[in-house]
Amino acid sequence: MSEAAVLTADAHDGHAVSDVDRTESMSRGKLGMWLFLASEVMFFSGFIAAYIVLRMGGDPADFDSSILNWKLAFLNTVLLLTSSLTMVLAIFSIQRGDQKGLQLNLFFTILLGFGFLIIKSIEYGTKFLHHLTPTSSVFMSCYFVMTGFHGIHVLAGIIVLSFLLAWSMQGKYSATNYASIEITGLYWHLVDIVWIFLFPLLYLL
Amino acid sequence: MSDSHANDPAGNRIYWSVFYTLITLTVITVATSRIHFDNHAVNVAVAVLIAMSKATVVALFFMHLKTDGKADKWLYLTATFPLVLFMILTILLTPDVGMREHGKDFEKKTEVPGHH
Repeated sequence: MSEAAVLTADAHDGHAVSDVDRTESMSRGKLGMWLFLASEVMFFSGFIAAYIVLRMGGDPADFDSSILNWKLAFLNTVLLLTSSLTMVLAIFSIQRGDQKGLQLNLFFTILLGFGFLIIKSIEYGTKFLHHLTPTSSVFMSCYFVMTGFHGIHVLAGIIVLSFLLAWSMQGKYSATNYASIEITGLYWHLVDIVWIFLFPLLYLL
Repeated sequence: MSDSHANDPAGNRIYWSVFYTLITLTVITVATSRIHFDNHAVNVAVAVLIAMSKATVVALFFMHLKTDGKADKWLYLTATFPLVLFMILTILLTPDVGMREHGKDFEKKTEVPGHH
């Protein structure tokens, strides 16, 4: 790669780069997010491993998932999967300079995320009405902690996405400047992946 | 390159295909979980395998792992090794932490033959 080619603005990953050290690797921002995602994976897998240990060693009757509403959780799964689609479509839009597409898809991602949280609240509400709290049983403790932390992650994602939507409406992003969108998208997809595992582990098995 | 799809007007078709696949796999997960196999481990294996496929598909296509450079692919490989290792190490704690006689005192553990 010639010196001149390396020093010109590079549209890799949606932002112009001028430093010389440009290999085939991803941008620093994207790498940083991937490292953070790796720590998030360790965070959730710790809880999942603990749940497996407790469940394998305990009485199967204590871990009866029939007290959970799998139909609501299935709906939630569909909502999150759709939000992942709209997220990647938002990136696809801005890569082609489509501002309207970006804003619309960001909006739908936020909306679907909100839908997820609303259904989660309904689930928690009905649990509390039946006097099922995190201290009711080991299974309830696992359920509330895992879905609770996941819900907090969804909320954090919604907050960031709202800022992105506001900025996109001010015309901040373009086909050569969309790194924040892509990086936030990575986070959002991880939140979706975590739920992909939580749903069967808690509700179906 | 992450902007390769920008040149292809029908480029978002792959995202829709992936989405339909994810929904289908979710429906299959729910359907097979309603079937009670003789060995519950079969239910667990099926559900976990389908979940891993869904996660892989999301990572490959939605997170653009498939289009990333070779240098980055090694990063993900090296990151999954400690994950698997730590989960195995944690699950190995099952006899000491997980197994205790149902209804007994928290301090008591199941007697391990050969000890004492």
